[in-house]
Amino acid sequence: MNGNVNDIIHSGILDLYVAGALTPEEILEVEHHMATEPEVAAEVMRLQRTVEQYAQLHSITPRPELRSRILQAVENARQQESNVVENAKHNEQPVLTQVRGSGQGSGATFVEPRTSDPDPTQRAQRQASRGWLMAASIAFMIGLMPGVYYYVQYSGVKSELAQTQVELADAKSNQSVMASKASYMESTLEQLTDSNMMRVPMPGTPKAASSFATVFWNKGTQEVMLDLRKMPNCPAGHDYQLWAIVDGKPVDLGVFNPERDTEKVMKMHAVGKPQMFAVTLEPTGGSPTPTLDKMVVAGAVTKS
Amino acid sequence: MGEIYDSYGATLYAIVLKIVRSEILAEDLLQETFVRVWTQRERYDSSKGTFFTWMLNIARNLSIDTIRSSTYKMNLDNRTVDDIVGVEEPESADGIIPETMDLRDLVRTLAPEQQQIIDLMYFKGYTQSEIAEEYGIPLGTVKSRVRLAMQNLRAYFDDRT
Repeated sequence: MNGNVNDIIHSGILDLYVAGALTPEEILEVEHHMATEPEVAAEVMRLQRTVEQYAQLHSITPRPELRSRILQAVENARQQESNVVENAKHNEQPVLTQVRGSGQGSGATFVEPRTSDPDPTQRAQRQASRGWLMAASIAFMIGLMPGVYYYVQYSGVKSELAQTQVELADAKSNQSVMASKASYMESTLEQLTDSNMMRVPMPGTPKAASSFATVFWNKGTQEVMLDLRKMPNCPAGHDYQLWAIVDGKPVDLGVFNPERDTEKVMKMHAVGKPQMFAVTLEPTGGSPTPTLDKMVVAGAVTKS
Repeated sequence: MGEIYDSYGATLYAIVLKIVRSEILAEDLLQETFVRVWTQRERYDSSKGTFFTWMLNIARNLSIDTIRSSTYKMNLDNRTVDDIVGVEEPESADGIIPETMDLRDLVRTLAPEQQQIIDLMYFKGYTQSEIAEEYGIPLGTVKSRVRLAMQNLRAYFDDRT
């Protein structure tokens, strides 16, 4: 590390840069250093990731409905963009073939109006100028569409590069999602193989013969895990609710919904001394007491 | 895009909310942020910073533009712009409540004035001279607080990884 780089890193200017406190001139200066000194760039990235972690601790989850609304808005922007690019391609092609075709006097796409003038040179000229008119008007139309010029010019390497960068960022966040999934599965596996764990299969009732779920109840910790992989989706406006029967009374162990819940082996509320487990279909959010005629699966805890 | 939303949506939402202080507005701005992330993706330059930092800049600039716009000011009813920009806002109104262990640890790590400075600059986009002016802190002190805060954050997160 040469003295200059060291000075920059220890001057505190990078902290200010990352915190967003510099003037535009100072920002340019820092970005110049970043471009020429990899160590400065690396330091800035480290600082950015630090504040990023700090920011993440302050996250506030918005209403869940917002997610699909935003993804839809992005999807609309994406479609608009691809339509524009498609149109640009379609418009470009005919211009080229028509201009070429008219030069050879065989422009099949044009129905040449009958004229009293059979001079082939003039006709070709007229056709050519028509072609140009066409090209000009299409160019004008393209000019009207914002952004098209840009995409036609740069639709090559540059957009692919940006795409790759977005995908890379996507992949990185995917990776952390996968990592947390893996650790979840690991802890699930650990719990399921605990020797205190009792397995309670719950076959479907006559009304829901194809349903099946399994409860894993830990005699020691009283924890309850539910394997819901064989449960069909609920009708709209409904959730499943898991109940334990303790001393003849139903105890609510939580709601689940195969469409909504990504974890197919879910941790439910803990319960002591259950005699039986059952799942009922309830209005979204669950009910204080089970709707018994909507019981879909049930299984008794066998003494062992 | 779904993964990007899942990873960063809540963080960006908190920042936008801090600036505009209205959930409805914050939702609209978060949507606009993601649309711009998509339409301006070619402008992201990975040599200039992390992807999150780039997204944050889009979100923050949109939010600041919004609160400075005339329509927003007209909708303030009887409140003044200073209320909204939060010169003397109660800190308990948003994310500063230490809800998690992590946050409680962190609050111990950062002195209140360091938290405030990061909050104003990084989250709300104040410049150092704006902070110096509005809070009557000498510019040099603003700078040294930013440095201390950054060093503490660095030490805190480095310890944990």
